[in-house]
Amino acid sequence: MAKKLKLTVKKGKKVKKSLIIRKRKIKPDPFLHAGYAEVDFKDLNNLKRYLTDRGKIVPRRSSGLTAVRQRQVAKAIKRARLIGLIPFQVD
Amino acid sequence: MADYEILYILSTAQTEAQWEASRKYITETITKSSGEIQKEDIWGLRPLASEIKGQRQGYFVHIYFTLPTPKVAEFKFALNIHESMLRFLLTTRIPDPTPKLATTK
Repeated sequence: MAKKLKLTVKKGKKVKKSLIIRKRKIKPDPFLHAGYAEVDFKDLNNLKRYLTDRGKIVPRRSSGLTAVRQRQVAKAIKRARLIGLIPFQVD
Repeated sequence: MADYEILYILSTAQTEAQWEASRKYITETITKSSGEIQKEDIWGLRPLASEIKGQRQGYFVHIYFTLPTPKVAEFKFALNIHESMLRFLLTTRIPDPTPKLATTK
């Protein structure tokens, strides 16, 4: 498999989907735009962007955040849940 | 001395006068233990996202304050045994927006 991945692709040739390595897309970070060094648990408008309609925390592969920011967001959401600002689950 | 913030919820089983009293009690406990209140925000009655001790509403108050670090445990204990306290969240204060970060992208 490792050899196959190293193959250079010629023009016009089809490549197996499983061999394509996708580049991670980094999406805009609303907290950085606001100038915050950390994520605030009271900042509900921005935190709700990282919740699914069932109230789960969106994974990093779809939130597009950096690892550090993802951890900060997860922590802030958990704090907001504890103090009753965000529901633990949405039925 | 360190910067802290607290968001606490008071029970709706109490009257407005009792809320005022417990609000005063909490600010006094901070100032008595040589802390300083920087900003107090009263959010008022708000619905709770999930039930806490069988209640669906709560009286929210948010405070920015400073407190000597050895006094924090004592302060937490005082909050825990307070009658009308539904729940509280005591955290170190998140720094305000820094102009450096705001300019970069």
